[in-house]
Amino acid sequence: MKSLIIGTTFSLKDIIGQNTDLKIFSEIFNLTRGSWLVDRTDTTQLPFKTDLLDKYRLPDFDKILNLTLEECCQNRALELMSLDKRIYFLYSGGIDSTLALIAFIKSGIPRRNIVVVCNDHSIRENPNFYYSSIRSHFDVMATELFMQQLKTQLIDGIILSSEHGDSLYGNDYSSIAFELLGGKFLEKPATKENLITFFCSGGLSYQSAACWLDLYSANLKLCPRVIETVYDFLWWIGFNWRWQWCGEKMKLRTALDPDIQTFFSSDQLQKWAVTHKQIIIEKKTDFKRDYKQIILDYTKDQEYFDSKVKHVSFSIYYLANSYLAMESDGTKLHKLDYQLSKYYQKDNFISNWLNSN
Amino acid sequence: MLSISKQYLYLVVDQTNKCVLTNTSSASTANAVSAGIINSSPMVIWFPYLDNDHNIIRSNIDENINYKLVKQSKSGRSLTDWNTYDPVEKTPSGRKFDLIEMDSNLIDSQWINRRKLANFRAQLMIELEGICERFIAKSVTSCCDELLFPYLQKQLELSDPDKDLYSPGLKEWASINNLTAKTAYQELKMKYDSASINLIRVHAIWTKFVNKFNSISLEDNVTKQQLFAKMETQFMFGDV
Repeated sequence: MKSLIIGTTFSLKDIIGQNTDLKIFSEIFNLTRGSWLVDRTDTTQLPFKTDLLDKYRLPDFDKILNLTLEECCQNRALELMSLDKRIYFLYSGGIDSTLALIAFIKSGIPRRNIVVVCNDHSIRENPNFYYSSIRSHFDVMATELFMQQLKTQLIDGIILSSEHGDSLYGNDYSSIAFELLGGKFLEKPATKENLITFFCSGGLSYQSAACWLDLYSANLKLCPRVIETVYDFLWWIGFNWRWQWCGEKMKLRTALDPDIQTFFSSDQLQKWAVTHKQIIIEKKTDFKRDYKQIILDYTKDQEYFDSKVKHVSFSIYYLANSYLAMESDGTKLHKLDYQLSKYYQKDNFISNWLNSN
Repeated sequence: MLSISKQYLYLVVDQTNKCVLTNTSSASTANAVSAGIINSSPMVIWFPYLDNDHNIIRSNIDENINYKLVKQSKSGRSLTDWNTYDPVEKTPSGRKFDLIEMDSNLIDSQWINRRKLANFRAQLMIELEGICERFIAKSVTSCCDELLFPYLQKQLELSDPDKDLYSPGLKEWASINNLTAKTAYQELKMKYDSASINLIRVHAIWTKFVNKFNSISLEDNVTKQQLFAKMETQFMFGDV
């Protein structure tokens, strides 16, 4: 049986039929649309056979230095610069890409070594930063043009996105919980009752909520962070289950195999995510306050620090008839070639859970 | 750009009886509906309907409200758009174009079905255009984009950043903004490429769905909701 690296769930509802495991599986996408979930501990299999790539396995955190976020960002910028390749930096203007670009600026990256891929929307997201730190300082290129070229042309250099910034911070799921149940809920203990409340609030049936809670808890013993609060638990499921998706999804936008990397994926940054003290989220603007503090220190833009809210980047700028999946051997599949049912494995956590509950 | 909103009606008229099949919100949607209905024509008329006693807007949801389009014309004159109206000596309102009640003898089940189809498609096209405009709006950078872009394209093409040569218009833009010509070139090219690529994508999606909607008949029993279920996905990922 072939297996996937990443897939998409657009055709999932067509194959659910009488399969209760698939029905339960499908309900999680009420919460996290679009993600392809893969267990970084490689101990839990979902209904569609998927391989974990070695580079996405949890690192050995005991062997990694414990540094500040700023140090981690600087080191990551220096690491990427040392590859001595031109970097095409995908800049949305959001918090993550602004933080990453500041790390490059502070590391003294030569102008010829980086192209800031952006558009008018990126400028509107953070105009002060664009006018003070990008315009006149870096070569720029339209996001749409870059993505059009990426589809069929080999890009000579590294394509760098700011993916993994959300998973690192834990706001994949916690921002949803914040919207549904408020900031105080995130500080509640990670009890079964509280977590079921979260899943049910997100549109899962009680049975699905119970199953997903057990599924997400099955590998908790391998979690490197102490799980005390709801926020901790939600951080873990994003950090563990969405990591491979974040690292690989850009590859569905190109027929070739360019060097695509993410800024926030270094071992040191992951270690920071595991060990830093999580601030209390009282209002929306508190998400990523640690990230915004470094931006503030550099830009002195107090309004941005006080008011900027994290939101999902628009993806119309990336539009192209995407591939829908990539198999373990690197084969990319278009709509006509992609049959999700081909990867279905009866022996999966959810079906086993159904048998024993 | 500099135009103000005018009181136009965008009609789709049956060429065989000059009666109104449906009305839409723009010339492009009227053209799109007409393209899918044989023996119909789009027709734009200036018609300050608030002054008139008729229900043309309501006729979009009620196929029992039917109108014929008439035009005040002197006999013997050659007429343009002759297949979309009946010439009359005097319209009820005294205006050049007017709507009069359709002859009830012409209203049969075949006509009502034709009206239903036109109204259904008009709703789809109006909604589709709304979505397209929502995405186009994100690419609008100034009030003068429409006049600017053809000239900007020329200025960009006349420049050669590899040789550090820049066109006069570009140099002037740079000077006003206290930038080097190189920085101005990069920023304007970025905006031009971004907007142009977004527009061609929106146009492609518009073309694709106009054709799709025009292939759907009422017998297919497809709801508007079903047709638009994946529309947002199309704008983000293409055909999935």
